[in-house]
Amino acid sequence: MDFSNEHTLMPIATLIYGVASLYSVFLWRKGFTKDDKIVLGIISGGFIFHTASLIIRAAEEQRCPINNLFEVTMFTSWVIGLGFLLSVFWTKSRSHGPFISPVLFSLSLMTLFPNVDDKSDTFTLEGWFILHVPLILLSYGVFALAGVASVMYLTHVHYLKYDKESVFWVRLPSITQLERAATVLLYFGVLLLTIGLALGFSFLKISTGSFISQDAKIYWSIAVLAGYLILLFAHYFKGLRGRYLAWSTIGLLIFVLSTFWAANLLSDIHNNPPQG
Amino acid sequence: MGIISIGLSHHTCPVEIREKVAFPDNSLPTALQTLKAEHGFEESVILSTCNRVEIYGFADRHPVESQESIYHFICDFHKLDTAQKEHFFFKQQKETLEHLFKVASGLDSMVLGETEILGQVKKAYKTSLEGKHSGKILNRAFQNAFQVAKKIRTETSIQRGAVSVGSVAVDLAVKIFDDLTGKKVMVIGAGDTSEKTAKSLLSRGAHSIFVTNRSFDRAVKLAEELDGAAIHFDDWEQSSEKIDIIISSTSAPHYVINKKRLEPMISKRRGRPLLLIDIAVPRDIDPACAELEGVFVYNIDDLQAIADKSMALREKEVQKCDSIVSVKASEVLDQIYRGFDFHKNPKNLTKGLS
Repeated sequence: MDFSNEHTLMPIATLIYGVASLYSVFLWRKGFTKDDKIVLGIISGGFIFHTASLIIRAAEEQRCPINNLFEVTMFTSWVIGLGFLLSVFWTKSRSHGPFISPVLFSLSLMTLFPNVDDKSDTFTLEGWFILHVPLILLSYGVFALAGVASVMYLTHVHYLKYDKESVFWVRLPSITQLERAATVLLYFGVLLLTIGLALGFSFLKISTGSFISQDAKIYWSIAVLAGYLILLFAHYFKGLRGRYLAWSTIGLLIFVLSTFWAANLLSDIHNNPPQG
Repeated sequence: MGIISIGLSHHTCPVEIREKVAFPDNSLPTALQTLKAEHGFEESVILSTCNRVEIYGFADRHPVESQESIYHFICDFHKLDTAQKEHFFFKQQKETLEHLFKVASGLDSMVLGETEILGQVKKAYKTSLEGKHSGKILNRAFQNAFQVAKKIRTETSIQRGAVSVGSVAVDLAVKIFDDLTGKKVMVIGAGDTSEKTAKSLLSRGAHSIFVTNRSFDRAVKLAEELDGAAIHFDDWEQSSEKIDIIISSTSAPHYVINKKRLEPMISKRRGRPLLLIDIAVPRDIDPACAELEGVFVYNIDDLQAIADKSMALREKEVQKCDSIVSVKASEVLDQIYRGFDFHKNPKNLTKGLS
């Protein structure tokens, strides 16, 4: 087994995330009453292999590994893992581990699909435009974390409303904390996505003379940004909160995750980028 | 000879007896001095709380003799006749240490696992230490008692969960609001349980208590006690928009708060959660209110069920705690008496102990 190859390390990371997801099911069955430090430990183990595969890929290609679907998926899931570990460090709470692990597992699993790593796609942007892809991928990672916070919110509300005897022993942050976390993450994600898209539009303007191009992924990205902007508008001006906000956040995330690959595959401009 | 204890507690007698033998704080130095000067106790600690009066002592004579001496001291000090002996417990050596460790850990308390007693034991020990009535033996016993209490707190679940309606309500509020600082509470109906629950919430940072009651005078009285404001019963709905927690305990035969009445208030709250605590029988709050977004309803049975479950969990932990106590008591007794042959050399009992 070649441990200096990202195609060996990433499956190991995926396998470990899978174990964390299985253990999370056990915690869920126990009503989240057990301490979740084991999940934290397992995810940390997976994250080490995940980081190693990302570093090896970056060193191999001499660039930030965000070019093809394999790299993009690996990078986005790595951002989510990093976000999780940083939040554990800052908040001293590890209760979101059981909710994060299935997201990490399913994203990492996508990197194992055949033909996903097309190395012929080697185009890189220059100058400030280099931030276009990382910022957008970061924003998707942040939206995924907001989705996780929303799932935790709904779980806790379910216990508070319908399983009153068990709620007392549920180890989840307060619903106020969870709603606040999801909202802050949504604002932050929208900020990153807006900047990332603005850089992309600016690059298009320079290279093609137009800010917009008829491309599936560009329309898809605008739709995603519009969706999140409408959500935040409804939250800020119309008082959209609680379960409605949580379900909307999860719904948007499901839309992003389920259409991301298709938008990438249908995109002409992202597969054959214009020269600046 | 050795370490002994004598006392009475809520397990052995009613409050009518306990109050007769209680030692007020200001009488403790005199009592400890009397034990030393007149009864030959080189070391003694008096623990006097509302639930127990216990004396721990060490004297260079047979434990039974020591116990008799303390018993007579208590009767003399409080001017009681000596016919109350059946209410007292007498313990010596390992039993004394085990009892002390259990008391300090809350295992002997009326509310199993409560933590207030540890502070009271520390205070009793400090009083004795300051008057130089605690020496090498009781120092070791009490310091180990504090260690055992800490070990039991961290290694078992004996203190986990809330076991009173008030503390359950507070913990539920924390699960919803995270931090109770600045949260506004309304008490509908000036009952005893609602007062206790409101006080529990206040102790965790809630403020701006509003009290409403059919009898406005009672509302004013309770509001004064809670440092809040009284409002007329017919006006409470107007204030409810800014309220975060409502505790209801009226004697009304019908629902005071129902879904239809609550709906317009909820729409003005812009999704802020509302915790409704219904401690009235018959119930004041229509359970259908919980169907509204952001509204959480708990009645007295919900709260009591959680408290009972907590207590059952604590009771399950008792065996584990007893085992910690027993092992540590043997260890400490061994440390105290290591290297001494009391039968051969009782006079040297306290020499060289470390």
